[in-house]
Amino acid sequence: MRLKFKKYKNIKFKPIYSAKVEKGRYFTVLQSILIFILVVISFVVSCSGFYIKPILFIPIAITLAIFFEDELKSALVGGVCGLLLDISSHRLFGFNGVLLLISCVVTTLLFKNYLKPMFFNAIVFVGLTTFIQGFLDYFFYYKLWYSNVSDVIYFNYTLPSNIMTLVCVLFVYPLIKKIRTSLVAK
Amino acid sequence: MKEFFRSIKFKVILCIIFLLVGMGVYTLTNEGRAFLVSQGVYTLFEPILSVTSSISDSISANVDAILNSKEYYNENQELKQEIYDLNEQLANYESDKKELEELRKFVGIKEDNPSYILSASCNIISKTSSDPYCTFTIDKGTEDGISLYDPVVTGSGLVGMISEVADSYSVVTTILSPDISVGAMSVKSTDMGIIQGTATESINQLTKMMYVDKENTISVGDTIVCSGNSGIFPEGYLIGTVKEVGIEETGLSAYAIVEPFVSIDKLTSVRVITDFEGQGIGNNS
Repeated sequence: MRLKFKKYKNIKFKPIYSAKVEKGRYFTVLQSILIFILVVISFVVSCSGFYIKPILFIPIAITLAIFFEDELKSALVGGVCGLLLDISSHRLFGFNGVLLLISCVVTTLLFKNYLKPMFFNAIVFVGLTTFIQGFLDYFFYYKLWYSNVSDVIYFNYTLPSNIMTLVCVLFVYPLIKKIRTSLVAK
Repeated sequence: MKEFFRSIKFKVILCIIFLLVGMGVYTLTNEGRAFLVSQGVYTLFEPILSVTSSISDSISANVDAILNSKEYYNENQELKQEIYDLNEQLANYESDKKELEELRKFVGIKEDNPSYILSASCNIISKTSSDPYCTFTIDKGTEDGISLYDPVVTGSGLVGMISEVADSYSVVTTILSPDISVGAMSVKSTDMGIIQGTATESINQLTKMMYVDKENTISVGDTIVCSGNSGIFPEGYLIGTVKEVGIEETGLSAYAIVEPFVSIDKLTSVRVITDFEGQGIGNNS
């Protein structure tokens, strides 16, 4: 049966879903801008202030990885955050980049297949990444090279920085969750 | 999850990892010269970092004044007592004259050394996070005449040297770090040694003078200056005062714990000696 649409022959209908798609693109761009601002703030914080301070890159990268469903996006975010951390802490270029990249990819894989995005899980993953990063940094930059270095550096500099980083999850996780869940086209 | 390891995404991620490792290896071989990406990021963020650095410095100064007011009060009282004691010493002219002449010798080093070419005042734009040796970044680089291994100073004394240089910024490694060695000498006893930081002393903003002769006559309160043997640091530049003297665990040499004249963790600006008489002459170490 052929439907007749003579009355509406000259009118071009816009598909109903395109408004939603445009809104979705708008929110995606807004999300990206907000995340970019967060990363810039993290870089500025890591360069200024005292010598012992939180590494904001880690909770931001891991929390984003929890909410991302694409491993490649997680890898890119983790890599960029890690490289900025290398630049701000004057470490070998790529040292933290590789570390955060792998952590983010593993996080995305686990949360995509097995885990739920919950605050407790976020703390566990951020804590693991932070303490692994802190230990590797201490081991490769101090323990290996200086025989007279005891645990002084680890307990006076690395550990306080790691604890501060872990505390920052209290602020970072709700913020990123809000950005990712509320800025979505419905 | 198995599909992920067979997918193109995984291969792309592996390529990114290899690229990062390659960049790291390239950076290792390019020691002293900042990587292009680092240069770009710092150039981009320099105006913001300058502003935030000055804001954080003023905040930390105010916070420090509030938190450590008791310490400053005690230090103030001690300094007042010290001034009283010094005034008593001055009353005894003959014995103080010699000490004053020796002190004048080293206070007047900059006036006696017009060969020093100093850079413009360099502001600190970044303090390396979780670094026990207080490494920091200044806002001047090769464009301002700064070169690798140039000594970094303030009017009070030696701070460190340039360990990484780019066009518009440089990284300074301080005398608290074991990465640099400064030939040093005691003013009073002329005993020689090497200033090299250690992890345990750097926490208290102190450094260590090592390989001092066991038969030395260094005492607490002695002034330590650069010996100038290496050609990297200018001869006679102030380093610090001796806080403690002892014999190394090996028993082969002595050491002295030195408190730098410069409060390195509270620095906001420094100067770089881009040229001086005797630079590059000597056993570079």
